[in-house]
Amino acid sequence: MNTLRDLIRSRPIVTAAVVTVFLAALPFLLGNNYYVRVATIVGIYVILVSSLNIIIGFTGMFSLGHAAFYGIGAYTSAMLTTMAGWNFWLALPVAGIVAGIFGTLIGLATLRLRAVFLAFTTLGFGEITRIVILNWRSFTRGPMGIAGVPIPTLFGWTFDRYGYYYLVVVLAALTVGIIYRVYHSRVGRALVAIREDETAARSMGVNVFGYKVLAFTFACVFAGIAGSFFAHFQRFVSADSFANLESFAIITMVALGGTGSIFGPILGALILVILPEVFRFLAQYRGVIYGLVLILVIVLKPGGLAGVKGIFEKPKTPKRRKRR
Amino acid sequence: MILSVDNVRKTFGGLVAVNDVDLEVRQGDIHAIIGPNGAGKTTFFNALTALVPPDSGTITFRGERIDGLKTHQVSARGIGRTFQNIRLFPYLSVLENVKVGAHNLGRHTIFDAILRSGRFRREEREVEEFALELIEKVGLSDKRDTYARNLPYGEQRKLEIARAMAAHPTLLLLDEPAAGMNNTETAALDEFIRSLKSEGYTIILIEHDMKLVMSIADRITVIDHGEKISEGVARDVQNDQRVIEAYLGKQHGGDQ
Ligand SMILES: Nc1ncnc2c1ncn2[C@@H]1O[C@H](COP(=O)(O)OP(=O)(O)O)[C@@H](O)[C@H]1O
Ligand SMILES: [Mg+2]
Repeated sequence: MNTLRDLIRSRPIVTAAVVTVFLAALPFLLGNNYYVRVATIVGIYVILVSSLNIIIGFTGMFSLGHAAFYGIGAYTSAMLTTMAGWNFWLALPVAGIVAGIFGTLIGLATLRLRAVFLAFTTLGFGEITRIVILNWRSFTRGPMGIAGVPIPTLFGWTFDRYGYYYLVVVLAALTVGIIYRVYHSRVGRALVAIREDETAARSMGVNVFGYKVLAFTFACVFAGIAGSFFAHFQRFVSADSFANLESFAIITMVALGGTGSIFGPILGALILVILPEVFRFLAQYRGVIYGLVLILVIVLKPGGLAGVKGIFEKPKTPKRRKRR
Repeated sequence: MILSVDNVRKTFGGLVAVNDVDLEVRQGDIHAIIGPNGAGKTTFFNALTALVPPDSGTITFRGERIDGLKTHQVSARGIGRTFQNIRLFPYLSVLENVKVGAHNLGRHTIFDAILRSGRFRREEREVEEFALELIEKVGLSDKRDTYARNLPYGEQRKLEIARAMAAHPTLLLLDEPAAGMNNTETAALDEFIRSLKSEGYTIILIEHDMKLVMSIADRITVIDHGEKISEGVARDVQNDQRVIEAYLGKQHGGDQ
């Protein structure tokens, strides 16, 4: 693991080239439409877990309703394209912005309060979002959902399975790349400082509230973009896809992978999307699997598989010498 | 006067932790605050830095009122601090800890970071250089990539000082920097604090190690039960009857 990491660090261009070639060749290696579809879904979850990792992993905040922002992005994009005739390429960023605005509002309302308030508010917000979508029929078509979400086209070419796959790879790569750059900056250091010790961060001049709202907003933008892609990939959206179980799934992936790194949650997404596909009989027990995985992580490996610091790891205070 | 504190008061429920304390600190001084455990010294620091906003009183720093500001704004005005019970960022490296201290020296935004703008690259280069300089100054160069949590105690104290210095403060508040240090370490700390003074820092030092205090403090303020009971140079304070009583009354201070 460490030697692999060192190899990647010392040869970034080679690594990037290898990964690019691999991802480009993957659909041909898989050779089967169904597998390409699974790979595309992995891509969506890579965006979702990376975005939730900003909240949980970097900043140490607890959001239990990430799927709501995913859903808001999906509905924004679906409604703009089917009802207002927008182009997908315009609807995609706008879906991110709308989800981001909801993130800002939730953040402003709760992030001054104790940490549990964000957890409860986001949990509630997830449920409220679902209920509003179901009941505001004149706006969202309620339980019928929105069908016929258009297939993206590019220079006259209509996306096929491969097109979706490559698009999600590009979106996920951009997401991870942007998050990587923010993580390795003054902004990223401020977020991690908040996670590590809020009081100390404050005393070092970090505007803790401001950065929490920024981190939450930033994360929600990517959730919204994932939602937009999902809407056009599935070509149908309904409230069920964004219920709290979905938030639970994303959290489990983050916890399984571990939050101390950018790579950890991606590993978690990879495992938890592919596992139920390999063992088809498990697919109907999705919720049970997430619950079991979460318990196993807590008991066996609270740091997650690849993380330096997991979300269930107790903060270890350094040993103190006794006062003379 | 770089800092003028006027009638600052802080109560916790019925407990008066800081009882209408006045304090004048001269530019360039090492000003020690001493007093028995529970006297309210740390609370006084917390009141200065708005971690526990004072109930009443005024605080003027470099001619500007800073009471009513938020903690991060106080830091941005040029007051750095360390904590009695060390509060580093355990899962950040030594270098990163110091870089967080330099947070407000940078101006680059999230967009600069994403685009890797010229401003981002210049600031990151500068902060890296400056942080390495500070790390060298406190003697942690060979540990720059070690997690703060893995440092031995004495080095954690040093790292806290380096982190506080990273914001280019003009006033440093050190809360018991020698606590838990052995004699050799304390002697080195003595040297180090003197060197800070010669670089132009003003320092307020809460400390129980009387040898250290008497050796380096320009002025000493004694607090007991939240009240200022004595003030002056070392000799005056040592001979002050109220100070002797305060310490004797606590069975040899519970302090040394
Ligand atoms: N946040 C707080 N809430 C309640 N009581 C506090 C708090 N901080 C300090 N105190 C109390 O205020 C008094 C002064 O404490 P402190 O300032 O830590 O003293 P010192 O630093 O001089 O040892 C103590 O009695 C302490 O228990
Ligand atoms: Mg104290």
